[in-house]
Amino acid sequence: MGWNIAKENFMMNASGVDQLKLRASMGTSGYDSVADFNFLTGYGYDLTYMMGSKQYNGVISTGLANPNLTWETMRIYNIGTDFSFFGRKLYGEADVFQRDRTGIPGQRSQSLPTTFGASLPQENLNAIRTRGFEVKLGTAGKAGDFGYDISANVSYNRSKWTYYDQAEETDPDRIRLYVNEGNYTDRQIGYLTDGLFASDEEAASWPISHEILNYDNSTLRAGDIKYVDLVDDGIIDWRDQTVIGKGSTPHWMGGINISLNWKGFDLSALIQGAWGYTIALSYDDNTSTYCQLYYDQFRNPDPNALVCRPAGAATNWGAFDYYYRDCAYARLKNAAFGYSLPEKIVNKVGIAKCRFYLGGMNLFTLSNISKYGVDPEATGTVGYSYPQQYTISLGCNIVL
Amino acid sequence: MLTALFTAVSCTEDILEQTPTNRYTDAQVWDDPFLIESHLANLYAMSTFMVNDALATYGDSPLNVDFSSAANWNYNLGMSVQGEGPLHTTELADEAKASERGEQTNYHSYKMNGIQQDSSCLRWWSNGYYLNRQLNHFIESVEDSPLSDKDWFKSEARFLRAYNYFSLVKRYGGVPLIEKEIPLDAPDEVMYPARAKEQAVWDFVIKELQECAEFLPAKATPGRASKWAALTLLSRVALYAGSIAQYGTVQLDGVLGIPSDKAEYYYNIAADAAQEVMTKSGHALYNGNKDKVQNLKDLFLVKDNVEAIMVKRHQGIAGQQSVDLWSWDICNCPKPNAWSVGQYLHVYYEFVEEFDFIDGKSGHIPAEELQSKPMTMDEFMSNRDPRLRAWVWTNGWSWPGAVGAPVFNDNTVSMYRGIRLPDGTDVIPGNVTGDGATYDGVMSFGDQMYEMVGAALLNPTGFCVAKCLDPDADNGNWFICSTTDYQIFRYAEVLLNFAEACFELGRPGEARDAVNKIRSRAGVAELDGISRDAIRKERYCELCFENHRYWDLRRWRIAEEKLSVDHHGLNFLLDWNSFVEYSVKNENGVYETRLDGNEQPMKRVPKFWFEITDERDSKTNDPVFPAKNYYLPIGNGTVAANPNLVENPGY
Repeated sequence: MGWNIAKENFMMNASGVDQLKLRASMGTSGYDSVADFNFLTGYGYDLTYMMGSKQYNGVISTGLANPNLTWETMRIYNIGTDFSFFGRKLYGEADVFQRDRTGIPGQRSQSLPTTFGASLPQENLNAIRTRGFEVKLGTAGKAGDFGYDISANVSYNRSKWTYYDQAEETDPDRIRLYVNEGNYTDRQIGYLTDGLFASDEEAASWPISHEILNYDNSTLRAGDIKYVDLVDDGIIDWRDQTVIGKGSTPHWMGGINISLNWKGFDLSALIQGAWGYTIALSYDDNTSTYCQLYYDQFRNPDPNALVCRPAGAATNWGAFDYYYRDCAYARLKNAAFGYSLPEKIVNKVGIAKCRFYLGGMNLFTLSNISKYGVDPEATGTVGYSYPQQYTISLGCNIVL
Repeated sequence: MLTALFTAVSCTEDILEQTPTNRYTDAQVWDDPFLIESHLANLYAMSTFMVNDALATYGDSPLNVDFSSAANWNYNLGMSVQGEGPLHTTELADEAKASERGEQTNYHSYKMNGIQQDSSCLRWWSNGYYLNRQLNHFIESVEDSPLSDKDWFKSEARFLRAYNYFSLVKRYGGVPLIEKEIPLDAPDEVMYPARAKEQAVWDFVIKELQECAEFLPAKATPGRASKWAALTLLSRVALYAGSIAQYGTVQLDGVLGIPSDKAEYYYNIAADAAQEVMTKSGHALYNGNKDKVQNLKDLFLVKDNVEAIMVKRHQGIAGQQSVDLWSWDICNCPKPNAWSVGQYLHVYYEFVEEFDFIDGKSGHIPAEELQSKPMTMDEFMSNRDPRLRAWVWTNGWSWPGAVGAPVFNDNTVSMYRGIRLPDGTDVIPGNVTGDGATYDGVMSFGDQMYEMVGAALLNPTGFCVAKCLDPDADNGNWFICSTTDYQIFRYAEVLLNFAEACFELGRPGEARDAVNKIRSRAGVAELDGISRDAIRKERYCELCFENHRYWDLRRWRIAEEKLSVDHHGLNFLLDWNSFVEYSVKNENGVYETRLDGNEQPMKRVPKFWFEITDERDSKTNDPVFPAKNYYLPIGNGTVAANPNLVENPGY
């Protein structure tokens, strides 16, 4: 549904308004995230067994099916506006949306006695609400031979569980950590840390004990992770966990698009950025790049090192914030500078257009994690993801 | 126009009514005899024929709920829980001890401390009911299938269900009896069942076996149940029920125990079922080889022999992952073998002494006499029950590839623990390289002891398990390569079930005759009289390492007495004098075998001193069988999920 205000009679005399439109929409659709044929009972291959000299490939029931299992339902609400004033001196769009996914398949938490002999089938149980907005503002125009079109955009979205079927929790810490309903879908739970132990003496005299080490700190050494006793009871156990990350997909994204021209010259650039996400630095010790890192830390534990002591205490494993970095970056994704020969000249030799250019990709990055050798757009273990390429190109476009 | 419309409609139907490509539908399976058979094969594979046949962490199988904590087993033994089969109940009983290496220490700890709440040891609850549901579904669905021999297939599933309830009741006592597949919308009393009385479960198993025996074929494909398998199981089940009535106590209003006046009823069923197998089945004791020792080895190696009533076959293809694989050979064989795995079971010396001498005299030699003089292994072993010589290997046993040098000839197991010098001092190594590892250049421990001495923590007993060992098995390659059939039921058990039931019914003559058939086949003197102890001893010896003893001790309620004791072993100390009789130092100072009159190397006939050693299970405390373990724990989580389920006493 839209309302094009600019075309209303009362706006006809408002000379500065090129376009002004309000939009609102709502849509419902199915969303197929359900595995094939899960609504049917069936049989799949399982164990082999010999009868006589023949080996049978046994088949066994794939479990209880829910004949009522359907696709999820996705409902989207959107309100937006498109506008342009004073001959695109100011133009833009703004949108606010909410997307409700309901009936996400899950297993009911109510557990049946094992005598039932099967686990419960998937049901359309859970629900996620995603909310976000997008805004774009720009200005375009001409001043003599100089033409410009500059715009910037920013968007945000994040999802929460609006319903999640799970066992009821009563312990406040368990509620804080494990109840999904009402919480972001991508929150990361883990331990806070206070760096690494600087010396064996510090580790030995540390007054806090670990449940995982059976309350015996004798295996802690310099270079091992120093946990924060969040609930302050002298013990590090599951209660000391908290939210330490917000997912590796950025919630905020933004960009600036620049396009300028003057006579035959043109310049364009795209700057993009994202923030509001967390990357877990994880260095593969099999790659030559990082093996030195581990080697140094093993030989001579450094409390400021990037990694904790290899083959160290049992507490050096798990989710803790030492490796988590809040990420933000801005990157000159691409830029190009060009010059087109005047058409009067090129037309004489039978060419419609001829443009020389110098362009580049990923030219420049500002990021708080670059110092670790990690690309902010990379995912997964460092050293495994395909790196972003830095390219420079020089060329000539000829249109006949 | 009309054509176009119809096309459109039929097209739409095709899209909406697709047949799955990633599974067989229920309808497809129950309409196809081959798929029904394949489903049945899977149900056989899931059954507890070899103690706990469930997989540790088999990827796609839902049948792993009881073993989630045992992830290591999978890696170490390649589907090892069922791969090893009866190894674990043997380790828990007074037959043998676990070798204290790797995962074997888990079972060792159960022997030392008993089975505690939420322990995964012998657990068969969730898996049992998972299987039960599948079997119920099979029994219901096969009715409407196009099979021409429905009654046969249905009876096989009922046999498996009876076996499954037998596995449950012998562990837990009374358990919920669920004979129909429970629907999701079942009322609470069905969904949250209480435990049936123990007697009701035994009666159910007995009734089912009596009925399905009528429809099972007299001759079944190996791997499947015959009429005789059902009757043999029936005799075992009724015998167990009889002893629980006789020796157990009724508790929890009958959820545990059977009133003692029912004992005779069950013993009669056991005797009758056994007698039917004895008179009608055509099965008999195996006697294919005149050599008694070889005959007793062949009994387990010759496929489809007359004694095997029901077997589980093993394909022996390395790298495959399923339950028709078995690691028995590599787990129990002497060196050489891959990764020093063998010798997982160390047989107690007390059990070795249970085997009589051939002339019927007790196998027990007073300690002073045994330790007074050196003997050759032949002098020690050759007059003993051939079953001991066939089913237990020890120092001096023949085994292809075993390194006997320098003390024995080739292909001989060498597992002496030290050297006794002429002046009476002993050279006993503490490790493989340090002081005492050699004496005058000769290793002071046998080749089989290498890992034990190297690990410096093992308390070997001097004897290991040879039953079912295949000398042709490939033990140098991969764990699960045994191709031997595991005999789930064999005729000797029928005779022993019959003997025990008859004795308890006051028919000692029949009991003695049955026992004497077994002794005569084995090659030991027959008995003149009979007693309860003699029958139990015969069962102990004849059915050793076959997953009987541990359960027998439980049903007789004598496990506390028999399993809460220290166990002994033997150390063999090479008599140096006998060694130098056939060995001489060459010019390099190395001992080599003397030459006889014909310039041929002399036969190496070493003598050993026998030293009885105690504290084989632990240097610090004795094993414990807590009385509560007569019924295993159902488990916290299981009880919590069903308010109508009571836990067994003591947990």
